[in-house]
Amino acid sequence: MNSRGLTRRSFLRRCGWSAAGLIAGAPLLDASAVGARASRPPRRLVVLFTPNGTILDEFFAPTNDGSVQLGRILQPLAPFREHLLLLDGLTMGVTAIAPGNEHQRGMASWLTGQPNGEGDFCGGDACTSGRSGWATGPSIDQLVAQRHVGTTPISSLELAVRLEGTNNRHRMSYRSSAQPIAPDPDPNSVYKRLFGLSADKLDSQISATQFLSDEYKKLQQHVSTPDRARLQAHLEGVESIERRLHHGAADRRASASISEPKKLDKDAAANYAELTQLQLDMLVAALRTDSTRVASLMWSGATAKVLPVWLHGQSYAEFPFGSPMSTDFHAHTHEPYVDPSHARQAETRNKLLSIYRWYADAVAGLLRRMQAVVEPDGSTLLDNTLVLWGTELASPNVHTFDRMPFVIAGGSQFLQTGRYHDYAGEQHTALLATLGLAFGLPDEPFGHPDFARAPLHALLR
Amino acid sequence: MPNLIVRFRALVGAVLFVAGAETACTRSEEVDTAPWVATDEPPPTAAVSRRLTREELSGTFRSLLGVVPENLSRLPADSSETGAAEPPVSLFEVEVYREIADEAARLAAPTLLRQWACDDDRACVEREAAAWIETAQRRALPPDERASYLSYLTAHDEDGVRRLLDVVFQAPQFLYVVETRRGAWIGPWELAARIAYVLWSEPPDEALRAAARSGELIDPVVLESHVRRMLDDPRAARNVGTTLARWVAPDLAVAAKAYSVYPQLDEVLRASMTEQFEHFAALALAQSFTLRDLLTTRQAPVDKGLAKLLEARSEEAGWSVVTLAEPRFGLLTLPGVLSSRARADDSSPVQRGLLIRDAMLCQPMPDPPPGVAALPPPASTGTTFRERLQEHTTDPTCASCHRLMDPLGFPFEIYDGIGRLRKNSQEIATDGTLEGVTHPAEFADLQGLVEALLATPELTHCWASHWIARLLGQPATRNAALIEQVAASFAAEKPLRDIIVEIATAPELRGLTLSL
Repeated sequence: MNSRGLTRRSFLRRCGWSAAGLIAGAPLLDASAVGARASRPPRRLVVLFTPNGTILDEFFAPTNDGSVQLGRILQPLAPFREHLLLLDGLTMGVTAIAPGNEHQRGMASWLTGQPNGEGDFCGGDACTSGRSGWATGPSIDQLVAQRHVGTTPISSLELAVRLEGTNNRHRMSYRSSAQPIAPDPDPNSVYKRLFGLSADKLDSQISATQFLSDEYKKLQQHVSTPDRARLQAHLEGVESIERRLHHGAADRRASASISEPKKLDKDAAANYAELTQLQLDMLVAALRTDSTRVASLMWSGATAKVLPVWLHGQSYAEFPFGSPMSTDFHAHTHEPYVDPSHARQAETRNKLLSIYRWYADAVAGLLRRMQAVVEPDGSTLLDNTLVLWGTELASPNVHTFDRMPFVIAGGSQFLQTGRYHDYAGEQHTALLATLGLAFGLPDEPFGHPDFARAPLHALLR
Repeated sequence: MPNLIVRFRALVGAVLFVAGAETACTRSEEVDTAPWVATDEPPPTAAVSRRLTREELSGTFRSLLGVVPENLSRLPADSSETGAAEPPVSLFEVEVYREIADEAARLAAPTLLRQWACDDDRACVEREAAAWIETAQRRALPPDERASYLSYLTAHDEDGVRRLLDVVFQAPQFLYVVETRRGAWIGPWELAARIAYVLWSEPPDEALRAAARSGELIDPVVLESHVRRMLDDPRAARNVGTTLARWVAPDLAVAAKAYSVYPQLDEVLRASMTEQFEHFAALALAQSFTLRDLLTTRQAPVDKGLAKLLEARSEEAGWSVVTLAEPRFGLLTLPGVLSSRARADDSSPVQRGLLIRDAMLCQPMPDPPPGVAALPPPASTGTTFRERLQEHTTDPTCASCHRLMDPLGFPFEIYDGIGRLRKNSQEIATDGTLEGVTHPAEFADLQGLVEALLATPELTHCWASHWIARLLGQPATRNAALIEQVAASFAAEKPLRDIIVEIATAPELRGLTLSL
């Protein structure tokens, strides 16, 4: 038997890592992160992406006194009013200096605060509007996740529902420039990754990961710097698996009290609603078992072209429409819909409102699940989690960036939630910087130097 | 040096194992070869030129094991055809690679042990295993690595082999294309791997490995004979078909289609449309199609579903080649192309015009101006877009670009959103003008448009760029001289098949310039 595994394992034990210790307790409060502030920072970060912008005057309902009013799209969030922070008026100016189609530019920038680079990816319909490449900096969720490497079995969990491709419209999390993270669109696969590690022949599994780490390290010695970085990404993946083996992933299954989700065709539009429910279950299970503290869920990706078949026969009473949705989501956003007095436009508008409302329902479904999880100290998972919900554009019809629909939920012990703010003209990087601050990143501007802004201190408790 | 420490530990592991195994037939080769003893030559440099795409990984398993592990479908779809532009891996992918390796090792271990037929002879198992690792990892296994891998063969039974395969399938030399170089050119093993993945999306076969082992593959005559041999193989047709499909019908698999308008377009028909490209490529390779043939042939491979869609008569079960009645001909009229370049509920002259501009002439169009309601009101089936797109030519803001796109899409209006010939196709206006090229021309119909395209050098340059980028795995712009040469070959009506040989045997494919 190869003896290397045992050595490293006992070393880890000496460092205070053991499976039992991590499972039993909730994560400890990292009080040092915000100095002497009396508030309590959130422990977990969740990022949600829904595609194709929104209809702004049905999303926000501006108030003068800062109270929360919800547009018709956001009605499902009404039960969580106290936990919400509606941030109106933020602009994504950094997209102006990037090449490519607006959907690409918005997607690359919304979590990174950086422009995308040059590249070969088609922007939308058949490369209509030029080409572009990956974002040129790390995303805020990954900067937060990097603080947790080694704290939890996996540093971050990226999920998707019916991902439409593998280009810069289908990635939002970046380790660093041009290093996007692929999300997992299959709940069954996610379950296996989170809870399916077998404790069978653990030593043999650990020694295999160590053998592989050595192979990747050895090869790194012989290659150029860019190649070394490429291998480094792989090496970190192997090391992450090794840590999880040490953490005893099999035990986590019991504490998750969740069964293996059924296998669904992850590319079928007909499964969209069901895949959504299962991925939300996986996301909450991952947080509840402290498998990770940073998670994200992306529906479709930017320029979603899904045909919303799951909405057939399930339209909302407020948004009636007669003809079936015969064209895809993105194509619908480019039909005229601004004038509701025009019968045809009203019909298109109600179809779009139904789609946007459906996504808001899904977000509410997540908040409901999180509120139902009570932590050892009596608070809920939602209390201790900061949820950021965003999209790649403001108006999908005219591809604007000047009034991005951002919603924060949770994190109420750190942020003054239950408020509406109009930050007209402020850069969205200020929001990303605020998020960073909540998770212990420095109190400084975030993003591309020309558009970087400092955290919004007025939002803090 | 960390390197030495790592290697030292690996060796100690090997020695301990050999001592503890107490097998009579243990050879001491692992112990004899101290890996850090310096040789006289400078150390070779290695380049991790790329990660295998999902398709190549699938081909690699198919070639090695005869089956593809199910877990492979969990990997994200490929973002590029050659893997050159694949970004670094995500944790998710590393985790899935691990499960793929586990599954593949379980599948392969019993079969391999049977094939090796070593019984209880440990030396025999080691010898066979080492040879097999060379095949799987497409390289000559250096003695130190041989030792370190074989130290992992904890027992010469099924369990031991499974454990060994598990790491072989997750090693960088398996998942990546690792190229070791001495001097200006890549070596024969590296060349064999490049050729095999470029032409087949599979690792080198035994004939190619033999030529790599003997070193004779670097002889241009030998190389060309291998390339020609490989183009006769169905794997080449599949690969060329995939290239064509991704080029002219990139969104076919996911393109939204409204059931209410096209109830007949089920998953079976959509899969047939995709598969048709492979059979079309086989036809083109077998009959040495030129560019003109590709764009004008009236032959088309069809199965039952496609024959019905195209109103062609096909007597045979499965796939057969039929000759279509005019006006149907060529690559650009395959139903997969016409379906992918269309709206969910109708055709789209704009998108089809863009296909010509963007994919055939390499002239990408700028963004539409902000604030436009981009699409005209949807039409009922059977009518055309042409009148509704009048605004594109009357409004000067739109016209500057749309006069370059829409007219090239109108000839395709005789086909509906899934590529059927419309009932009223005779009444549809198909004339237009090809502008913005070296030889502008007026045309009366689709055939006229294709002739106008064939007469313009932008088309041959674009085809040259595309095939060079595909076969070399890097942007064609780095190879300006080769573009000129290949464009001239296309213009001289050299068959596509021979042009693939020309690029695959070009010095550019063997040179260090490929380092990314």
